[in-house]
Amino acid sequence: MPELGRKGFGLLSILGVLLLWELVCRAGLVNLSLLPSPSQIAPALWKILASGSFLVPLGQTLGMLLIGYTIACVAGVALGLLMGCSEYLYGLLEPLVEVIRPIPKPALIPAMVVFLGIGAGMKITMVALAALFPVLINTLQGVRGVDPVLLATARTLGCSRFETIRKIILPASLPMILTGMRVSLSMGLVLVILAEMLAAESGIGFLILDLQRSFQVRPMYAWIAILAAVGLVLNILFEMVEDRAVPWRAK
Amino acid sequence: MTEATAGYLSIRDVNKVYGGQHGEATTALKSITLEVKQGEFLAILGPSGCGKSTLLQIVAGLINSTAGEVVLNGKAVTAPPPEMVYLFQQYSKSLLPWRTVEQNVALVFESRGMKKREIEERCGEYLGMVGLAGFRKHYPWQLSGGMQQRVAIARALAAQPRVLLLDEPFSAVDALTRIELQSLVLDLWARQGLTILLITHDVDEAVFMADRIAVLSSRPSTVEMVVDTDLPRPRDAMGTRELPRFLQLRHELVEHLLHRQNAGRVDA
Ligand SMILES: Nc1ncnc2c1ncn2[C@@H]1O[C@H](COP(=O)(O)OP(=O)(O)OP(=O)(O)O)[C@@H](O)[C@H]1O
Ligand SMILES: [Mg+2]
Repeated sequence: MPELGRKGFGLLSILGVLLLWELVCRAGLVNLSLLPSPSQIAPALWKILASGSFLVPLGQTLGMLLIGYTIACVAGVALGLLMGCSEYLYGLLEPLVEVIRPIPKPALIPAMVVFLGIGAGMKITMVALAALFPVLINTLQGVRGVDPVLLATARTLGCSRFETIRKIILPASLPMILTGMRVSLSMGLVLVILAEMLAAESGIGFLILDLQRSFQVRPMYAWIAILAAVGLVLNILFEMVEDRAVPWRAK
Repeated sequence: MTEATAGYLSIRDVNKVYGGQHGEATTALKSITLEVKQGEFLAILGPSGCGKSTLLQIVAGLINSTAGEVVLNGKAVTAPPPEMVYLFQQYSKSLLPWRTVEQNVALVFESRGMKKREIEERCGEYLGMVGLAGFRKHYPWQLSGGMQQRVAIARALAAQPRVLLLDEPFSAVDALTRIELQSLVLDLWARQGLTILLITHDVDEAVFMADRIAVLSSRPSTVEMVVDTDLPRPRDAMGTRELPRFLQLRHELVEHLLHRQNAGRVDA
């Protein structure tokens, strides 16, 4: 398969960087206690994976991410549909959205800690806040971009308003909605890690910071590698969902 | 076929001006008046951009006229009436790409509380009428243009309209498919006792299919003339086109259109 071949070829660049990294370390160009070589990180990574000690922090982080992300997706799609279908709601909510949207969401973490403490509630809220806007904005654009011919066809065929939203507008905006959800997923991951670093006592973000503070540099890099894998897997899963949900886009 | 009844669908002094607030206003329709009898096949012939789609969408209740009114069966049309279906000129855009051919037709049944089996049966029936029984599970984008148009026709018929509004339904298909679809529509028209308004800029098509032909002027458009075709039915794709009356009508209409263009009218 040419697809596989191309991906395999792309792996070369990753291998090249790892090799270069290894060489730089072995040549004594860097302080190994600050930047260990890949061959030193690998055993630390293996230890974490083999002992199963990655399960709890990973579960905590992914749990917060998925709960917050789900809330954001549901709320974002619902709000986007409402705003897209009602000029009245659009006029009412659009200024509010435009005021909250530009705030870099990490700036809200201290405020959220004051209200919600450093537990799950805060992390879920932060993820949801960060993930809400891409979904909302993309849904809104999707709804507004539905071909007028489709909408008029629904009218002339006698579809009710509700039917039109459910059977025409929602599926027609699905590609845009999914684009928003994809952006939101990476935003959510960033926010959950950041929230865990700034204010938490559990999760991968907390762990990475804790390892750094106690000079356990090798496991720290091992966890970063695990995070890279998490991001990659989430993206692949998302692509699979996307391909199934909007097969007509591949025409 | 039901006997033609006068005063079934009236288009009275319909005028349509687009825009106006910011940009310059476009008067698409100046004043259109047409009476359509029940069971009649009326073709509307007009130059490109003269407002044919605008007129038909006003009749369908999809857009509002600036002045004048459309009356169907004694009731003013202000929203799309259930007994009227408009078939878009851009028919491929009117199909739902995420639904199969069958599901596209099913759209009109779903709100009527029918059982799944019954819906499937009815869809099969209408797809059979347009010769697409074997393509129920295909997606629209897997079909040719002519086949997509058949799906749109099947779906429109499934809505069981009394009046079918066809906006240049055959302009995007090849010549042979066009002849096939013309005969298909004529056949369905006769069998279902429909009233059809058909927009076209093809003189041959108008003469071949219609009972009467209304010729529109260029924008801002008015009805320039209305002619009775007076050709026998059922029409035959080959035979009808060879009748002296057919040739005479076509000659007159083409001459009229050419003469108008040469007279310096702008044809957008
Ligand atoms: N939504 C709109 N807003 C502004 N102007 C419009 C709009 N729709 C159509 N027009 C204008 O009105 C005129 C008539 O358009 P219409 O689509 O009804 O013509 P038509 O006769 O169907 O053309 P064609 O033969 O190309 O299908 C055109 O000049 C067009 O630019
Ligand atoms: Mg048109």
